[in-house]
Amino acid sequence: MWERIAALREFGIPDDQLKEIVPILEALSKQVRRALDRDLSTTEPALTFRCDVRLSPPEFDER
Amino acid sequence: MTIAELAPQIQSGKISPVELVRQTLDRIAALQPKLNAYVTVTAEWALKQAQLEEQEIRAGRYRSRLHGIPFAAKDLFYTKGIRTTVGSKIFADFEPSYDAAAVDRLYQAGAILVGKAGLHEWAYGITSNNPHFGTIRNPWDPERIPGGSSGGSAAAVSAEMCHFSLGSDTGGSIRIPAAFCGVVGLKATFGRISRHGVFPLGFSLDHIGPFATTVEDAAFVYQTISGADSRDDSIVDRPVDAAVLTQHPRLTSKKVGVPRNFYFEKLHPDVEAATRKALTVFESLGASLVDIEVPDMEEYSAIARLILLAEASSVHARRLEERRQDFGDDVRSLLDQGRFILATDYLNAQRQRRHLAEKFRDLLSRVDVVATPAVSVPAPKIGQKTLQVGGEEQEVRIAVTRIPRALNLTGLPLLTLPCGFSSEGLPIGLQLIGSAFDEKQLLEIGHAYEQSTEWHKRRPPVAA
Repeated sequence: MWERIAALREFGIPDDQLKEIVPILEALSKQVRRALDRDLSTTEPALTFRCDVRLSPPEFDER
Repeated sequence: MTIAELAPQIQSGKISPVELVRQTLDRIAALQPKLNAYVTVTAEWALKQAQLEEQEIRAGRYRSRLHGIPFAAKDLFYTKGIRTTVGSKIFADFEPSYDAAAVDRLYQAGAILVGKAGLHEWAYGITSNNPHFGTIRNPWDPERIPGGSSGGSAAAVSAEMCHFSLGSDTGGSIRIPAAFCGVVGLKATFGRISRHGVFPLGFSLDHIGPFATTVEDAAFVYQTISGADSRDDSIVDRPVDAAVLTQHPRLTSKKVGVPRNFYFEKLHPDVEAATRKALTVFESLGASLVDIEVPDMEEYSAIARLILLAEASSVHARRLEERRQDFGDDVRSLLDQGRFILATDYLNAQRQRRHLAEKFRDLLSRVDVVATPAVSVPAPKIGQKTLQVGGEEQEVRIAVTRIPRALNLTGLPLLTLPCGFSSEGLPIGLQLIGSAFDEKQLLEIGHAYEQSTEWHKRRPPVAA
């Protein structure tokens, strides 16, 4: 599955590097499934946002 | 000398900030080749600043206990006109046009920046083996890691290459190096210290805090850099109460929570012994130990990983696409992993963390602090990939982050302080978990423990 996603999304991850991360993703996916597949619809996500905060100026020009 | 010892002497003119900075720079020159704690040393700038501060103090304008004190900032805090690499070759020549809020507040207090401390590349890792700026070494054993990602900040304080430093903590990056280097590290409550001008790793998990050799010194720095800042939308504008740190404190009527599950499992035996001994110190000070049960922290640790993978990959997405070859192998792998996280999983993980925060709020309504080991193991060797803990072979990164990581989900203030040494002479850290925005009590309890022990007075052989 991960290989297909990587190909479809054109991530450009070389095969040898993809091979290393697939088992990590598999394991993580298993670890979180039980917690994330619960009905969490009545819980607010823990994000913060304030509309009156200005963005910092762009600081870095990657030449 | 500690900041508490130096401050009155600086104020009275007995100690000159210029001399103090000169001594610190000499020490950096002597130890930098062994430890590589700094990416940039701001010698000329620091000496000029020290002269100005000295004139101010002589003119009777002593500003704070940090006036004239040399410090280091992790090299992801923006410093105007001084390069800020974030540990990456991509930012090797980046000079910000403004100072991070925390750095600015330290300047206002009269503290003097002597350098930018080294870190794990992009602050994304726990070894501080930096492929672009070299390996940072542990002052207690230069063959071992100082921990990360704020490895340089902790190593510099431990080896007395500055008197305090700033770090950031997204999954343990203050507490791990504090434990491994035998210094005090405070991760303040999420929303307490402005992150304006701090290069992000995981915006909903990033925290700021100081390293120092004592709890009292860490408290000075914490009080100076905390408080309202409209430029950081996570900041909660609440009063910052000064900790009352007395000479012979007692902890009568205080309750110290001791988790019966998770935190005392899969530990190096020396870590377990040192932490259990620390608990008896609390009892001897009059505190009562309360048996508590924490939620499934293994599961929350995985949730914290998932959130961080997604947030860090969003920060670096374009850079990874365009300059893939300019990332170290470990960081590149983590950034690749983050591209596979579903937005729905990310948002549900952000929902799930509310439940953890709620559970800890309940726990902390019954006790004043929770005491745990800071990290399961003492500092591993540089390059070590796996280690044996609790009869299991574990990846170093997983073993080292097992205890610290999930707590970033709660945003609670966390204090790490020395509580012993392993049979190999490596420092061991104790972690105290406090209630949100109650750094005051956390620091007072940490100080009481510290006053009853001698661990914080030991200095690494390289600093002798």
